[in-house]
Amino acid sequence: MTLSGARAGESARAPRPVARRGLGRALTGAALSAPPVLVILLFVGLPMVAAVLYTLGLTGGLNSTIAAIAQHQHVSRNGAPTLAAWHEVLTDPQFLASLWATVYVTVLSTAITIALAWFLALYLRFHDNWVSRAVSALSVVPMFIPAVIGAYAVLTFWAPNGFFRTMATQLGWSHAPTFGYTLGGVIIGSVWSNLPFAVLMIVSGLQGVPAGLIDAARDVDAGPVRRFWTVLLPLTSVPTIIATTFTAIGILGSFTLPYIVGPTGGNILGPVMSNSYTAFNTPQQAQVMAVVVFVLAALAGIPYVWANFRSGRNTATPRGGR
Amino acid sequence: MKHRYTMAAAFLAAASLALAGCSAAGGNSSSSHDSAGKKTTLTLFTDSDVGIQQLWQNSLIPSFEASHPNITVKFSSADASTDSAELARLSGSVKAKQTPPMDVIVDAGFISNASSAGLLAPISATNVPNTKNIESVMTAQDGELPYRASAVVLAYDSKKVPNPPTTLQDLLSWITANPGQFTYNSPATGGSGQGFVQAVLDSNLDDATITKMSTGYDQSAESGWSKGLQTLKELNSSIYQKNYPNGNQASLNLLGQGQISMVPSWSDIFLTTKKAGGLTADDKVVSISDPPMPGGPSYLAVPKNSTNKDAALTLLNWVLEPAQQAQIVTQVNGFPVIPTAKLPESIQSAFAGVDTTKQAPFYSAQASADMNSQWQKIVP
Repeated sequence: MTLSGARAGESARAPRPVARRGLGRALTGAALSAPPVLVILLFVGLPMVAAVLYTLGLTGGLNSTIAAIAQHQHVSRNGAPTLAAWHEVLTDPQFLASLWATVYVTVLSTAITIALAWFLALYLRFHDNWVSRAVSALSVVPMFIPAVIGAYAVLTFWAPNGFFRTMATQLGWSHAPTFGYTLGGVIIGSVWSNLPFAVLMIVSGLQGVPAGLIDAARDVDAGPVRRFWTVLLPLTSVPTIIATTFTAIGILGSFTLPYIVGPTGGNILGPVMSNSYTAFNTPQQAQVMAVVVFVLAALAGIPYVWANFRSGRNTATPRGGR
Repeated sequence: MKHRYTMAAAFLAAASLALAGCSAAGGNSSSSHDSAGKKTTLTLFTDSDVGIQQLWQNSLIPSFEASHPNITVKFSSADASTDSAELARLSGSVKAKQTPPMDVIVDAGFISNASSAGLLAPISATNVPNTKNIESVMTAQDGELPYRASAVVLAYDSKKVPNPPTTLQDLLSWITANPGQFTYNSPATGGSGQGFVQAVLDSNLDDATITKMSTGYDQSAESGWSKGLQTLKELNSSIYQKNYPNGNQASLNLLGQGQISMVPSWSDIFLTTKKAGGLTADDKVVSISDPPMPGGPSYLAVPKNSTNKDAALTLLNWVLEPAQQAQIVTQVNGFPVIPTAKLPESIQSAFAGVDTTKQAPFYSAQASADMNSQWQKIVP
């Protein structure tokens, strides 16, 4: 700090050599970061801008191929953007039902996932025996099972002739629920497939909480609930927020699971967008829905950015103090 | 590690040289494809299922290469979900006047779109002489060559249903009388469910409107669908699990597992599944009439900017010969597109219970898309 401060003072008097070195360093930095930035601009940024322009009825340029094929397009007149496609989608009761289903499935699945992950993580933090080691190994298994296989497993397990119902009937419960082709099944599957990542994040966060702090809290008579709220949760908030954000964004955009397990009508937006794009040949409407999902994902990403900023500041604080 | 990369780079360089050589040879051969010694490599693309991939890879391509030593066929396939991307690549190459990603398109869902966008080479009796043998029910748009066909039939468990319905009205009353014993896949996910939905819609339309639907796109005529869609909505409570499986195979599997006793199915998928052991000997098929469930051909096409057009058209013409048509019947249980009388007698008996000549065509791509969309809005 002090060194660079002195240099800064010098540079005010003799700017040339330092400026040249600074320029060189800036160029190296820019060159090193350019490839990923360019890739993102080219393969994510550009298509996104083109897609947004297409939803506004601008069918030229990059959108001309898809516009030559699509049905029920709303095309701008004289180059002025039109909101007709947006109006059509946002007033369509079928879309609104799917949007509501998406929000509801995402919020509920994420909440259940994070709660379960916390229970598992707390158990793994404070128990070290063969059971806990087996649980920690088993909890990451879904991560290694492909989405399609997992989805079919959920479907057959909860089908009318599936394991759960067969078992329940044997035990005398003849009206056990079936979750195949329901949003309930989608929630079960989403929790199942997203749990490993959340467990890994929160377990590693909890392992980082120094045992001394927990002991100190216990010494001043803080009960388990108090210790959770005042020590464990605040010190694990960043990994929890990261796990929540990634789980929510993953479920928002999920396709395979709801396509296989979800209901034919009123499914979440992933399969609905895909149907609109290809089966109904209405890509413009599908892209409007995609922009809506993008906005939802961006909203879910705000806490993540905040958490990143906060953890960045936390690590910066000690250095600044020195 | 480094060594491996060098090897990979060397291999890539060699491969691209070889490819460049091929395409150059292809370019030459289009002007003089009869001259001996000129090698042509055709790239064939399909988005179809494993059965069709095996038909081409294991049977048609090897025997074509054996009888045409100057032509090599390179097979490539991708999932149907890549259709839009493939179409975009094709139309991009036409616009930029470059070599297209494939020389022969097999079955792919985007052929009709490519046809209406004018991306396909025209096909007629002058460049593919065998087209004159194609039966007139096998309709095609510009640039499409029908090479095999199949129809949507009613598959049923003859143990549970000894006397299956043969007209649409009888089928509809059977469904309501036996709740939970019938389903069909959602029309967006496969032709068999789509065929059933179309038959119900057709029962409330006059012939002129049906023809208009299958040959073109008239949005105003779609208002005639509302009555049929209402009928389908009323069936909801009688459908197995009140839900519609995704895909042709998923709905047929429910019949194989004994969970339902009747389901619409593609004739070829039914016979192939039965051969593979997915259905029992009691599972049979029957054609539905008044109105019939539709059927239709699958197509081959050649992009108009292909540099190997002559070789590609040779392949198309060859597939229409009786020997290859017979192979299609035995391998994938497809209907031939030439009269069955031209095929060996042993093969003609393969279609018991199925009428291969009285086929109603499917709606056009645009009308089908609208039908799928309206079904999704109203029925489930």
